[in-house]
Amino acid sequence: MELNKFIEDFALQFDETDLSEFKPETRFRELEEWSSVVGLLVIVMADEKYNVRLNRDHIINSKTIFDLYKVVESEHNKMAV
Amino acid sequence: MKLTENFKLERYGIHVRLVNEDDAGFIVKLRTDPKLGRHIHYTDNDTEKQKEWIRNYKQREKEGKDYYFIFYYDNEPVGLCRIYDVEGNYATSGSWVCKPDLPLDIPILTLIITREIMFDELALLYDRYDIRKQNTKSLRMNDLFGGTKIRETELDNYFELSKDAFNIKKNYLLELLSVNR
Repeated sequence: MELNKFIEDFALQFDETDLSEFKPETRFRELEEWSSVVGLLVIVMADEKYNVRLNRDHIINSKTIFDLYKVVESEHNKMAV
Repeated sequence: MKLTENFKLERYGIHVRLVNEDDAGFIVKLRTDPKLGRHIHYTDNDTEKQKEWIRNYKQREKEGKDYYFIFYYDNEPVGLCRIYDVEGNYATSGSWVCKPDLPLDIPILTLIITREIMFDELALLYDRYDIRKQNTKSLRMNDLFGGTKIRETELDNYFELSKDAFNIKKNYLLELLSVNR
């Protein structure tokens, strides 16, 4: 998995937030556009692109995009073992 | 089939009932919340007008044409949704709005419950609704729920969601949300 590609995939779930806002350290739940709908789209993205099932706790426990990337990476690697 | 005035349902930890005049304050507060974006239809910030609207709605509810639901989570009102224009096997779901900052599965579950009421409690077969073409997130949600585009205008896409298509997608959505059925 590659961080920049994950950030790009993550950003695609938003359509009103400027791309420059999406950085590893971005606290994504503090973005104005963040909502349950975007959250669901992120979960779908993780499932379809990375074959990882994120849950509510994964989202709640991740403050930044990098935190979420590490969760997806970890779950993805578990699947690969 | 019709819902009675005292209709209540509990599913996925969420309670739902039909609105009454006492809910007017919550409805106005939620529907005029500036954080909830520009895709909500305009509502007067006037509780008395809302009460009057509910009194008129209650007649349509009695006739089985219109149902306006209020959802509770953790004993707090958290969201609203309607099933209206009930006719034959068809109806329209809409006017969906939930409080911001809820756990992310709760608003999605209120949408699922609304369709479950439509298809299982009211025994309807199709949900027909329209979405503004510029409302891209709602359009993507529609894809997730399995709606099929039946026509379009310059501004709007018109969709139909069948009971069968919904039930297939519902299982996937509940799995994604890690919800036990």
